[in-house]
Amino acid sequence: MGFSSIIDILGSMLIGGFLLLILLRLNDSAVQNVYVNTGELIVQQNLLETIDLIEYDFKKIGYCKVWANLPDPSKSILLATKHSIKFLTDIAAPPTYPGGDGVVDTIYYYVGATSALSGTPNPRDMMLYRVVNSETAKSANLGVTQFDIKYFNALGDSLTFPISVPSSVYTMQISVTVENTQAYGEKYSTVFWRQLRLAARNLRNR
Amino acid sequence: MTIGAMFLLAVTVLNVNKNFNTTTEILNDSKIRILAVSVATSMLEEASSKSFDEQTDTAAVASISSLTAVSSLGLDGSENSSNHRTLNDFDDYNAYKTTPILDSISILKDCPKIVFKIFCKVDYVSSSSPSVVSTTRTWHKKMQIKVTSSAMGTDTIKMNTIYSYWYFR
Repeated sequence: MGFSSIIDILGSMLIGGFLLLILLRLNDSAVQNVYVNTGELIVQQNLLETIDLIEYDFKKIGYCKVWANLPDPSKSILLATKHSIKFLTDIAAPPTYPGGDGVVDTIYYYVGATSALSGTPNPRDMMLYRVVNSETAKSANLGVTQFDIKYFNALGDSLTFPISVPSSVYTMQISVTVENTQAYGEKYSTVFWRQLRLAARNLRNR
Repeated sequence: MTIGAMFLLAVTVLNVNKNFNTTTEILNDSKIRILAVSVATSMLEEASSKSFDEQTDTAAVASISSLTAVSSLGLDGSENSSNHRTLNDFDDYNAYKTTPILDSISILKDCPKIVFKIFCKVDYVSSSSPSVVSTTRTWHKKMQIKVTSSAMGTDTIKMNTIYSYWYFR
């Protein structure tokens, strides 16, 4: 084997090494992108699912199919805090009762502590609970990291906490943020939704 | 031959990176559009929380001729578009423009704050053809909202809602 052959082999090994590095880097990027993009998609879907449910429930605050069972809709909000709300409504139960069964129900939304989800890598995520009447609290970890509600009276003035007279609530501002529960390299994707003024129609009936 | 192989590899790597960037861009665009939809629905909700008409703000109206004339839809009297709290009825939002600073939050790590522009239009519509603007007064008003942003390029989010008048006798 001549000197030139050794040079050829060393050169080939060098180029091969570079190619291998490029391929490894490419593979790493591909894996990272799959994780990040899939996570992003899941986060966006989770946010929309959460908002869909919240909007549907909140718009029906004070609604009852049999109006005589809820004669004063302005008193439908039973509890109003920054991270929770409890209100009266009539939950639809399709296909039997698509517009509600005429019996007044209670819905209670609240968030749990971040420490309750210490098993997930994201330190900020917490459970968003939805309790109907006296049922067991239902929730799924959708990566909610913010569930803030701001309340306004009929004049549009912001109400300060604690709200001792929940019937003074006329509109509310809901801010929801959803993040990945776990992420590649701890780079969590964030999606934000702010419903500036959610005005349930029945709350205006006063 | 080696140079050819290197060239092929370079092209492949470039294409893969291009695809990664496209996917990321699409997901970020979708994120901004979600926020734009929330801005639009917020405006719809805000307008829907007001009275149906200037004349129905403090009293009930039984005749359609008592409502605001088609040509007068928009601000009345001392109402000021720069202070939305002075707007007291649904059609005050006709030709209303705003740039919600409150919603201009940074949701992308390497992106400055996003500023949205909102334009509203309110018209009377009839119950039989709600998509057609009515030239006469009716019990139904339709609001069209357009949300644009430099972050969304030339894309525009458009949403509509119809607000009808009703009251308890």
